[in-house]
Amino acid sequence: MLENNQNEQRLKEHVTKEIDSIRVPTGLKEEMWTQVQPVRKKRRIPSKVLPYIATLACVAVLIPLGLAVLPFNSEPTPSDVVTTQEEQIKTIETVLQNALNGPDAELKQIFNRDTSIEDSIQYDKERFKEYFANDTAYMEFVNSYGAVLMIIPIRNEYTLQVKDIKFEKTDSKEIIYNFSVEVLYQKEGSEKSDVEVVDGQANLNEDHKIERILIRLNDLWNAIEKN
Amino acid sequence: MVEISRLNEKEIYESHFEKVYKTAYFILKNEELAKDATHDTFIKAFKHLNKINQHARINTWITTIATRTAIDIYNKNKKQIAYEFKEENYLSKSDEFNVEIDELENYLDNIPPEQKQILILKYMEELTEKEIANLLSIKLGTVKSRIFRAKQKLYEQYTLGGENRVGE
Repeated sequence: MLENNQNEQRLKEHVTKEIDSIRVPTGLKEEMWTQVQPVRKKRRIPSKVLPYIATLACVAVLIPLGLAVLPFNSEPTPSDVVTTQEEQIKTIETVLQNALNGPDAELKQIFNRDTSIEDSIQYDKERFKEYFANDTAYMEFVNSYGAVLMIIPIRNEYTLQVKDIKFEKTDSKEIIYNFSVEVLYQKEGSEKSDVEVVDGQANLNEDHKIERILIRLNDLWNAIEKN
Repeated sequence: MVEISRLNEKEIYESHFEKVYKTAYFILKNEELAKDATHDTFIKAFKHLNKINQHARINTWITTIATRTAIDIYNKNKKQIAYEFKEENYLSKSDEFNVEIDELENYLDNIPPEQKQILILKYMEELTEKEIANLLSIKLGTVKSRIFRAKQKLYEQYTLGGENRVGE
């Protein structure tokens, strides 16, 4: 029995040694990431649905034309437009500020303490949930960003701070904003800091809630990991 | 622990790349094929990331994908691998200065990929035989017999190399 256990242990050691001794080709990791990283594809509209969409589009054009001849004017005034845009930008800005400033003490504690998953779910909920249009949009955000966004800064002992955010509304009929954020990143305990620009895009609904947001973080992570 | 579906792909790639490559190479013993297996493993993993529930063990999950992918690639390239292995073996045996080469490594090369898969899951992931059977959807008896055969081949090495050599 004892001999059996010893043999078992030796086998384990040999298999482990054999695997550990395998050398990964230099640069392969970085090279392969460019090939395997997921690209978010735009959904293609099935051809069967196109006639329905065309009909709806016609109706959408005709109804406002019909309403235009009625004796009232419901077009928003310039001040309405400004207020609406301000609300939309405020929503995106709050989410970006909450996502790209940190990690704060609470988040560090959550990751370092090996606490239950509920803590990080709660952390995200408090900071982000109210700004999203629905559960799907919110879940999509926290799957890629939210608390998990800070894993790389925490692991590399960096702090992020938003210096400036610029917004630009696109010409799309949907409510879409491009944004670019100047993020200052600094190693903890170091005097030196650098700035990297993170850009992205946010899609909102009529209630100024986010339906989708993309934050391009690769350059920032590369800059942090190179240092 | 962070919920698996909440981790981003980059984070998963960073922490598992080396292990996936080494697992694939351990099975395939060929750099180019190991690269292909690593590439395909991450493509599959990212595609199905949202289907993993929060209790799943990501290490085991990715290792299992890596071993399965490597076995598929091995089966597709069987003839080529066998030829290359024969060539390498012939060269090393014909060189009298290579007599002291680690014989265990040669024995591991002779173990079929399905048995190597079980060795990885048992010794690297530390799964029980029952867990391996569930994970691979095979019978417990199949797991036991694959482990037995793999061990048999390795024990032969003990006999050939002497106990002291093996323990080194």
